[in-house]
Amino acid sequence: MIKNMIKFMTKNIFAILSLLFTVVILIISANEFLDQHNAQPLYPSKALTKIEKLSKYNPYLMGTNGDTDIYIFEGKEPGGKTLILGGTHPNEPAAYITTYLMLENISVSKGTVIIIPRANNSAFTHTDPQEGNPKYFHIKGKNGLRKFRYGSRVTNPVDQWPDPDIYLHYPSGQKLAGSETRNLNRSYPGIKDGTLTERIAFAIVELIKEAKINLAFDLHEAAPEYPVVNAMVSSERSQDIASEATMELEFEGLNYSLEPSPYNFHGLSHREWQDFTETFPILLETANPIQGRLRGRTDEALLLTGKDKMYLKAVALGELHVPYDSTGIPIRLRVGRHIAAVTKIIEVFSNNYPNKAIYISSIPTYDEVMSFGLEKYFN
Amino acid sequence: MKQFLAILLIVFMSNILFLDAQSNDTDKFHAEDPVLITSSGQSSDVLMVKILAKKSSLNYKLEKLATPEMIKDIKSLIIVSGGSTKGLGAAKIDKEEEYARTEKVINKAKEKGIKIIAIHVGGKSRRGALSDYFNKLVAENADHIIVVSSGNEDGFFTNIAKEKGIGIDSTEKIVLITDILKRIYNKE
Repeated sequence: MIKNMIKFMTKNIFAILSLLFTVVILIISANEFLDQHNAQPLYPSKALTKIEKLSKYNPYLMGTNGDTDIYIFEGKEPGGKTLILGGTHPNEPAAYITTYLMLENISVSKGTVIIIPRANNSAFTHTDPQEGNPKYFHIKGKNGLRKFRYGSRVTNPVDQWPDPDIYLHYPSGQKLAGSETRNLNRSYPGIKDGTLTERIAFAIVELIKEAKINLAFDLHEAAPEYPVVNAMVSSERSQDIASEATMELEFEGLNYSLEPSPYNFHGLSHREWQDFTETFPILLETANPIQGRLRGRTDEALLLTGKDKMYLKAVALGELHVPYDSTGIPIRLRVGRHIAAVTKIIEVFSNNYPNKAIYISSIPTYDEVMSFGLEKYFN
Repeated sequence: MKQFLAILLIVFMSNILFLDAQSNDTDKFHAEDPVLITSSGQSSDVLMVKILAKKSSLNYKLEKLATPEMIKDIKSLIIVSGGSTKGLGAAKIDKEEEYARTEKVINKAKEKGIKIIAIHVGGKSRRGALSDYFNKLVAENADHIIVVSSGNEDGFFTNIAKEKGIGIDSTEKIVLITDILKRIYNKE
């Protein structure tokens, strides 16, 4: 029996080794694939009051990859409420790193700050095909190296499939490319029992309405060649606040292009939050070369430094909408800009609406982030 | 001695000319409110100018899409130039329509002898083909130009001002425009 087995194995050694090799590859791949579903731990500051689940605002999200954590920080003194979204597009890292950094450092003395760092949690669990993007990136923290996911712009097709040929936005009936059906920032105001992305959008709108959010942020990044970059987008309700904040930020050396929320482009956070809630919506964009079509080598270094020789050529040709030189656009600069804008807008809002004021502290300033890096502010 | 005096005279005259060129053009230019504030290019920069007008205690009215019919009961017109594809889209108009509207408003103001002030606050991001389409029209037809210097690094506005003999005020920061407006409108 053993003799026969040895004979069989000797005869088929190549096939057996191939099979074993395939199994090893499968195990490694499966682990790597499943690891994309593991959310990296966050360490909220002592100011944290509670963590809720987004499914509280839409039970149809319960048990799905669209459910996500909501971090709530309540000040001792009552005041206004602000919501800050990161991870609407998980391929825009400065947006969610800003929310991670805020929730790990924030202190609130008046009002309430609500942070959803992974707004489209499902989109964190895969990557955009054919982009060659890194799956993870690393930032040093006070207690060691932190690993963060770099995800996709849209919901994982494993969670929402197939895409229609044409995406019909509800309720406007606007037609968009089929893949946009998985884009959270084309899905507002959402549908309670719709696609996973529509359910997430619906839950966020319900949260804004139920919690009576006064001021709501949606943080983003975009390619440096995109016209709306280093920009602040506001709706009719929030445009005065945004204008004042833009001027004050410019006075402090940070330029923002002030953009209106288009009336006739539906599904966007600022458009639909204006139309379906009473909040003051603001969307912020920074410039991120790893998202651009002109980029060269795509790796973690590009994500972190924003240095790319192709963009140096592009700026020389006048093709960019942002300043760009050999220092790149590092993530600390992008996060610093988001932090500066969010804190300034909250300050301007609080000055204009003292009965809804929100006082926050312990968040590093733009200059501090630029001087000391993100390392100093991550656990 | 004569040569020395001639040189001294030339230096003296040059200094006067230099000082004049460096002096604040606002000292010479004045306007009165009520003022109508409008946009050319539909960028949101007009909203910043609205806040600056408010901070300067001007009696103003904002009409992003002002028409010639609105050029009444006002004593001056502020046009904030700079193109925005999002803004034009939001207004449901194309750049040609916006250009034509601006031209009509300018013509009406000129016909009525209303002073026009061109303001450009958008810096570099409100330059380029689309923005300059409006910037040129507005600046060339203004009685006075106010510009944030980051939008005039190539001398675009300065050259127009020089060519057309228009006064120009340049400032480093947007918020400092309130000082210029206060002086122009005697609101100090």
